Amino acid sequence: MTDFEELVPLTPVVFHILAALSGRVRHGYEIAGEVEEKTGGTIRMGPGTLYGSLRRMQGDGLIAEAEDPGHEGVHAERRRYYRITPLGSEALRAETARLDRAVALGRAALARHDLAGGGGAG
Amino acid sequence: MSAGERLYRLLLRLYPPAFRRELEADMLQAYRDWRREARYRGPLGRLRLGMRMLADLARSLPREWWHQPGGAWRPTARREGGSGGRGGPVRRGRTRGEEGTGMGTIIRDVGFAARTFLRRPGFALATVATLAVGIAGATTMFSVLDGVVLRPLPYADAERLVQVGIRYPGRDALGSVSPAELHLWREEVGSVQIAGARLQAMTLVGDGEPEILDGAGVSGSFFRILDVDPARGRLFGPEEDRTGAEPVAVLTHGTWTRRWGADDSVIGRRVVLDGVPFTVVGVLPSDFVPPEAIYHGDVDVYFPLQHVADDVSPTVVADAFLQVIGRLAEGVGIDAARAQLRATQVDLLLANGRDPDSREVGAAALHARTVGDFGRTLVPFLGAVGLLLLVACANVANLSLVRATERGREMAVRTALGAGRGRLARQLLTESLVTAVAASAAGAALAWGAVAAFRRFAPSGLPRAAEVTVDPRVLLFALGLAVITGLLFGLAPVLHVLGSSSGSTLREREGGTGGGGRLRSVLVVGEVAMALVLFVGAALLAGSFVRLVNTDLGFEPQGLAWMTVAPDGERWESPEARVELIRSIHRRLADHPGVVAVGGTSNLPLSGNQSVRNITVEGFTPGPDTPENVSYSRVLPGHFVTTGIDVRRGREFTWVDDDDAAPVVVVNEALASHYWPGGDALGSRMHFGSPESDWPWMEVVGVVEDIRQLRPGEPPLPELYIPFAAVGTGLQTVVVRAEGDPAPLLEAMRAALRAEAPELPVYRTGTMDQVLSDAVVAPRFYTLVLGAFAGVSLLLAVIGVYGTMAYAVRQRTRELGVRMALGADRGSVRGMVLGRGLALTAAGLAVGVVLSLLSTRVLEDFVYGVTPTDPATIAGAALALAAAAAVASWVPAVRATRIDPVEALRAD
Repeated sequence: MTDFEELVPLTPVVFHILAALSGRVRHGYEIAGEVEEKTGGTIRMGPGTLYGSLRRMQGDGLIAEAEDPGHEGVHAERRRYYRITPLGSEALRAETARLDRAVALGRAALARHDLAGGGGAG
Repeated sequence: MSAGERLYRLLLRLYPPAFRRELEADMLQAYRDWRREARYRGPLGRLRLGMRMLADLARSLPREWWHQPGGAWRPTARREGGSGGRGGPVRRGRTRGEEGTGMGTIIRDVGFAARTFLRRPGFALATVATLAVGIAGATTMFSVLDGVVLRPLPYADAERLVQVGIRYPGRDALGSVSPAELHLWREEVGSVQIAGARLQAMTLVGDGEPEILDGAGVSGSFFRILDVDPARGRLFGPEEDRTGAEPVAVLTHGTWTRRWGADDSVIGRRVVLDGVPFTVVGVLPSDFVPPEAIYHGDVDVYFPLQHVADDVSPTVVADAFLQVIGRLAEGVGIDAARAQLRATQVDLLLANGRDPDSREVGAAALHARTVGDFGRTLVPFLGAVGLLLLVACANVANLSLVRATERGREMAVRTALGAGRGRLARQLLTESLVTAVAASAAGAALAWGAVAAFRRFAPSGLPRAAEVTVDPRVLLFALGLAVITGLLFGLAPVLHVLGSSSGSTLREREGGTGGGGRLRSVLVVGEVAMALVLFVGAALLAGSFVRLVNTDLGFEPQGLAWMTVAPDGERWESPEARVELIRSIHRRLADHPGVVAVGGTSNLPLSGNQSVRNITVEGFTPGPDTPENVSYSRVLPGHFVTTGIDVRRGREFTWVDDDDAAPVVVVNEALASHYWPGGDALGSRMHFGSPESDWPWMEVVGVVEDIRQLRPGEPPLPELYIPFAAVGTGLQTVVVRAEGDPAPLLEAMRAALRAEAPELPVYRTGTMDQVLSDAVVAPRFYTLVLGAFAGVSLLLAVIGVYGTMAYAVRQRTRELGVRMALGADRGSVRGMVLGRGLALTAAGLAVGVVLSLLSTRVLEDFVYGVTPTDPATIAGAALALAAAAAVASWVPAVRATRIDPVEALRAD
């Protein structure tokens, strides 16, 4: 487990790319669309940011290239597909656990704050 | 392939080659996917696509270069691993941080550049400061050019505004228009809507101290033509042009604030101007700019034109005293409008029984009329700025070149280790650009200050000076300059890097004469040459200025105080009452302690006032060089002794020379020598007007010294003086000579007026020193500006000479050491270095002298008492520059003599 602790914290972009690839093989544009949708547009990537991140994550062994599922029929263009690696899954798990702990800590702190009468704006 | 995709493909080349080779196809594919999506969202979607792609480039480009294996952007110590990281062990810090907002990477890049510069802070500072000064100079001058000449006038659809006036052959100005012409044009000409204006000072009484306001009577359409909206109330409309309309007034924002404390209740209030009650109906906005082409100076209050022109016939072309502006109808050219105005004018002149050719209407764009030939005034200064920028660039190129040579070894090592030359060149260029951006920021700040100073100190003759600001376009201009200069001076070291083969540089020892040596010499020669041109220009202006302020004015300006009185109102209607008023004030002041003498004149010298009239001299036949008019002043007894004008022959006036006495006149020497050459003017007779007019003869009772009446730089004109007591009309300026400082007497003068006529305002007052200082404000301003440029460029040239010589000494340490080991004495070594520095300077001066002779002609309008190619000035400037360069080479020369031969040889 300690090995994976080394990986975190992940940057939001890496975290969301890993999440997008969990249990599914996708190509670059698909990943960017999924991340944008899931984050409500707060993370918008262009080709440079996207492929730069993918390349480095691949270098770090978090993701790997996948077989082209080829389900786009005659219009299919040659695309590079990515899948999450076991190391990537562990990183995602470690980051989620870290975020869990952070959320619990934050909730407890806010509860104390509210009890002390320092109520925020609702 | 779409144009967008082609562009994107081009932009992809900005990424590191390895990255691009691997991912270009995928990125293009992703681009096409995004574009397909954008198409469904219309033009806005496409705009968003463009923005997204640009933002993405800005964010990812620095990052990819940063992560480039062995990237030139990364400091060596932090370089990790190679490209073979794939599948390797996960390293902490690798994943983290690299996906940030992009801000972090940019900061790191700038940090790297900063560290590079901090290793040699002197170099970085010198470069940035040099460029900043050049950019600030260029930006300031461009701001002035833009604000004064290029920018449209501050009115809506300003290009349709024109000035209309009477065109006289051979004259540039558009003369005044008569009310009859204005009336007819307004009624009958549809292609241009016109309005007249006439300036008239008005005495305001009530609501505080009496005060003289500068007023302007304008047509009802005046403000509509300029398209102004009121800040309060209303402005004038067509109803104001009807005869017998209510007297109404519009205040300027300044007057409203100053006199009425911006009180809204002033609307509807009555104010008494020249005894007539006017109802205030509105206030102009604070940013209203009066059309400077038709009247200079600030107007305090506007009233309908008919209140200054209601006694003039609307059909007879007689007195012409109106300035006219117009707005062309949509789609009408200026010539078509003029033709229509002319046709109507011809009808009117014929109806008046006058020759239509005697008077011809002209029209010109209001912008051109406002700016005039100011563009020409700017030429020398734009030239100066260009030179300054060139000197700055040459200097920075020189510095960069020295530095590039110093880093030659470092570059050679990196080339040997596999870094491409392109990479190194890109790195050097990037450093140059970073420097340029820093310099442009500093330059923009400097320019902002300089423009503020310009607005404050610009001479009043400059049109639109108040409109000069550093606007975004000017800042863009500065940025463009920065990039261009960055590329220019960045090119020198790049050429150096590309030009040297790695092997030779590695082997190169100190002592080799690099190929940059000749380029550096050329740069220094150029710098010295350009600095000399600027220096000569500044010296010419400074010399002119000194000569100007030391001109013998013909009178003694020091110790004089003055006050202008305008005896208006019923009580002062008769000339006798006016004379009595002035005489009483004269008497009070003469008795005042500290007053040496009291005089007075209708036209204070150097104040810009002048009255002219034609004269007839008994027994004199006018020749071709006889002036059409002579200038004249109404003076008080004691005027000549008070102001220090020498009475050469005859006498001053006394209070006895009044209306009842025989008419007398005093002439100046210029007038006497023209009308009575070689003879005696005393006792001769002359009168105003043409020979057939019935003006009374006046006897010449005195001849006085010539003075500079209009401007210090203009030669004296034929001038005559008549006693104020004999006419008693017009404004009168009382002048006193003080024992010491005249300023304390100003209050005594006010008190004297208050005691005699409490209801009269002081029209204007001040000391003669102030008048003199105002009269030379323009030459002083130009001298200071060019002087500043010359000073900076001199400094830059000296730094250039010093840098080059210091560097040469360092490079030749070994050679000099050998020479000294072989017995060369210190004196000859010093002489060698000094000689080389002076040779460069001499070459620069030679080029500079030629350039000066060719270019200083543009200063012809600015110099006084000297030709622009004055040999003494050029020689003096060259000597001064040579001396500065000698000092700059002296320091390295002395350092050369301190070389220890043993150390120098061991160092190899």
